Amino acid sequence: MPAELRMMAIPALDPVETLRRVAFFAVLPPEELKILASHCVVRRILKDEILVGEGDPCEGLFVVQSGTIKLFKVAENGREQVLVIERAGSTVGEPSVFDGGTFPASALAAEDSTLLFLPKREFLELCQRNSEVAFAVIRSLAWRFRYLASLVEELSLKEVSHRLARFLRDRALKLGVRTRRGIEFPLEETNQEIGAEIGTVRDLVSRNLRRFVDRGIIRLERRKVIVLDIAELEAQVSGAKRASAG
Amino acid sequence: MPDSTHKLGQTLAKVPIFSGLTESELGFLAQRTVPRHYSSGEIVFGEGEPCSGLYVVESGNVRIFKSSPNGREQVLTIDGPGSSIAEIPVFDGGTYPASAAAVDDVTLLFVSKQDFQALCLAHPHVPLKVLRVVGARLRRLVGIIEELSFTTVRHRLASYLLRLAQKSGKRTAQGVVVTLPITNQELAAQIGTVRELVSRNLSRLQAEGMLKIDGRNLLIYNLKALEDQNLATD
Repeated sequence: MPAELRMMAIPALDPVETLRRVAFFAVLPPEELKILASHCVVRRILKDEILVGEGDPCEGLFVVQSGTIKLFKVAENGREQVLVIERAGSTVGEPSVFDGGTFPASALAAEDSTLLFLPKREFLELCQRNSEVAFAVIRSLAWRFRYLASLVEELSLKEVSHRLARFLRDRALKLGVRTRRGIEFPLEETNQEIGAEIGTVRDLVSRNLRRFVDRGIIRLERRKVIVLDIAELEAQVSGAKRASAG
Repeated sequence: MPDSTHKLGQTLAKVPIFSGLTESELGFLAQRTVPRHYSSGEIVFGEGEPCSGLYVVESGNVRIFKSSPNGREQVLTIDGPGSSIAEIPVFDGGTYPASAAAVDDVTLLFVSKQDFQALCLAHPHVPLKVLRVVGARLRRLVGIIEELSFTTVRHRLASYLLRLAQKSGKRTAQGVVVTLPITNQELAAQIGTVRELVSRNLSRLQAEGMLKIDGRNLLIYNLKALEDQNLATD
């Protein structure tokens, strides 16, 4: 489908409703939400399109109306590290509005998405005159801090095998279906993409997946993982040593 | 205002989240702070503990770090005099997201959660300052993530030595001498690795003729060579 038609196919949603879904705007009464919405600019972006590049000046924040936005860093050699994934009700860029800097990471549409762009000035004015919003934004930044600090902990203090095990376990919990064979869930990502999410290179992902297969913890089929031994997978997450079953 | 309160007020005035408060407001705050002393290595608060308030560093340095069950640590930042620490859990009502320990002998000014919240309600510009401080912290975390994800231990070690050389290196006829101010274990915690890999990489750099090790003193023969080989790694 040509890009223009795909753009038009992205549903138009009520900006007030979108803003209301954002935790730090939810405290506002309807009249204020309407005024805020009037300052917003709708932005439609197609899958794999870049929303902002690392180092771009931050002119405001984006509210995700629909779709999925991936925030990531890129190394000089092209390797990626995913920082966070934002979906409807979430925002991109508000921390940079406050420290007056550039965007510290790039943002890309993981699928066709619509966003609302709220200019810096309107957002700062709102925080200045409404303490409740300011507090709510701080809570949101606090959540981000905890999340990123956890990611630092994962990257620094946990080995690849543990991080991969956690990635698989979390998927199993979220998308797994129990069948006669075990817990099955789809795995669409390449080893490269998995590496970008957990902070390592493709080779270490394949090597560790193979280790898990060799140990009978999982079985890999085309675009699907079957967890044969969820307890052992769980043990791999924490790095606990378990007595072998046989 | 008594002299000690005035001094405390001056210390608080330098803290970014309190900038913009008037002298009497600072005095009021100073009266409500509680000074606490910690000796080198002492824990101020542990990750996961309930938060009772935030701290201002009056003197000394505090290291903020995450740790794993097996005792390994990753330093997030080292905060010196004039910094505030632990504002985040005061706002989101959660536990401390990381641990804090005194690097050297430290004096901290404790501000209780209640007092700080009251201050924020009375002075709406304080939350805005907090937003800026937390925004900057997030940016720093992103930087650490980038380093941990994309660089090798060798690269991060070389970067550390280059920064040290710039800050406190002494030029001699044979090169630049730097003295490591911390143990290999602490260095490992700061650059995201284990002590063994710090020693091993230092030895490798010595074997390659980049530097000479003499206890905590390192003679770097050619700073530019170290920098160039750091840029060259993929």
